[in-house]
Amino acid sequence: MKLFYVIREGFAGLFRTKFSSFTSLFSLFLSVLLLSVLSRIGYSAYEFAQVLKQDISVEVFLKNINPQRTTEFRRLLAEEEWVAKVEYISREQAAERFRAEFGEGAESLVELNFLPASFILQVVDTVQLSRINEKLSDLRNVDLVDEVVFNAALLEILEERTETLATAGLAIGAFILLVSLLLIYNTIRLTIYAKRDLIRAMKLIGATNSFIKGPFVVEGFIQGILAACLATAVHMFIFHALIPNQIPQLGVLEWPFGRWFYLIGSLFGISLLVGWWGSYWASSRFIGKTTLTRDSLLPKSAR
Amino acid sequence: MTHNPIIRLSDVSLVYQGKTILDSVDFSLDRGEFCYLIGNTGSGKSSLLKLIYRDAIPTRGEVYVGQTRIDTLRNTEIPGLRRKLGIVFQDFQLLHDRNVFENIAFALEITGKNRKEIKEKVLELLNQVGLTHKQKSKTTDLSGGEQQRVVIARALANDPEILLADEPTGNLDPSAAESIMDLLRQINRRGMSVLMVTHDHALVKKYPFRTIQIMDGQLRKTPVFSRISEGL
Ligand SMILES: Nc1ncnc2c1ncn2[C@@H]1O[C@H](COP(=O)(O)OP(=O)(O)OP(=O)(O)O)[C@@H](O)[C@H]1O
Ligand SMILES: [Mg+2]
Repeated sequence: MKLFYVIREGFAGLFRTKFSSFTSLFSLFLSVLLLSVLSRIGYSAYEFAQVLKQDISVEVFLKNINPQRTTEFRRLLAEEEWVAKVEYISREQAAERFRAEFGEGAESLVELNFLPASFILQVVDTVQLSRINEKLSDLRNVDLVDEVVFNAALLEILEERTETLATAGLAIGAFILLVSLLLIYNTIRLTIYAKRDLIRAMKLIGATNSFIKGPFVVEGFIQGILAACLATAVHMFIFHALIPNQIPQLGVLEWPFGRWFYLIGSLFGISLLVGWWGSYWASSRFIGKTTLTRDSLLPKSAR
Repeated sequence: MTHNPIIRLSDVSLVYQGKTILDSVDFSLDRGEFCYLIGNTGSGKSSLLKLIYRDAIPTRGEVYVGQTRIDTLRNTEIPGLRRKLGIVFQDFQLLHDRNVFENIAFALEITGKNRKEIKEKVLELLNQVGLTHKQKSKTTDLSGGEQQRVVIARALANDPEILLADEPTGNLDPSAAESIMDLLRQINRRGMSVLMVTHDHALVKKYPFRTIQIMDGQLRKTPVFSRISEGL
């Protein structure tokens, strides 16, 4: 009985204040959609960066060959936490590779002993680029080292952009979320105002504030559910129809952590939480303030 | 007078926004009693009722309903107090998006009664106020007198101990007013205590009960009406 009552009244409230219900619902929808889209793109970019990193190596060219110090240096490099693998390329091997690449004819043109020995380092793929760059400038100061080559411009741009996008996006998303909270608060305030006669009649017959609150909180909750459903639908459309169609080389971007329910679950969670919170806040505040009579003599402090 | 009144105001003063509305008022209503509160407009009649249903808090003094001191009740205890009171106003305060039956059932829904209990009780109340045939009607299709009957039925739904009525006949023509008075008297005869605010001297004359007049924020017994009621 009670459950049926609060749900029916909750829906009725939604329609009673159509315009403000629509604005608060739309803004909540927009904020959770934005957050979900950003999370999905951000996660994919992060994953992509990890994959790129696996293919990127650092070449450390050595000055002269002191076999003992080279072995020592190799051991030290291998101990570094950002280094996954160390490979030593001697001058002979370097010449061999050059030959393989440019053909036998190259040998006759130049003496190949201008090629220095080097280490090729594979980078641990979870280490941040900025951290690697820091380490590389340390490396450049080692007296054995002639030159360090690290070609990660694309990766750098990707990481930088992802970070900027994620930070800006989260800030904007959080801001719209806050706005949604206030809009829901205001919608519920208007619903309460529109239904003040009902609330008075309920107080007259001795209804408790929490009983009166029920339908209003449910109204906010319904807004949360609707916003989440809409956002999910649009999210699915963007990532499973629009993007694969328009940018086929991207295909369907991966779900964060490989499963759909982490993202969609959080989307619903945030949306319901904001809907519930805004309406609970407003109804706690304004139902208490609605007095039994219009010309109540209760002091403000007792309302 | 018994020593166990159902309502008792003891040395109550009410000051609101610097204006003294009631000044050192002592009043009590006995169990099962019918009492009128009369006085000029603005004299504080409605304010006295507000003190009882806690829409006002006395600046000084104490207010009791039964054994419970109500001026110091916490906010969470107020719904419990209001369920002990049946409250009827001049304007009918019905919910026009519900029919007659639903308006009365509404008062029972808040107490968590089940459908069957609610239906039985509503039909009993409708019978008591003589509106069984109008249970499906829209409230806006009822006459003023009929609307007030619905309000009275709703006020009685949770078996209150006291009926507080603030000018219940104020918006009604004389014959409708009299039929409401008949109903209130009948309810009173069944044991309900009734405190009624009215402007209508003719009604007081026709249905004489103890009558208290408020003047300048203070109470006085009106000699003429109390003599009539003593004579009964
Ligand atoms: N909400 C309020 N704010 C300020 N003053 C008020 C308020 N309600 C009542 N008063 C003042 O308190 C006094 C008593 O008002 P009350 O409503 O109790 O009078 P009443 O006897 O019921 O009058 P009426 O016969 O017109 O209903 C009046 O002077 C009125 O102006
Ligand atoms: Mg009045």
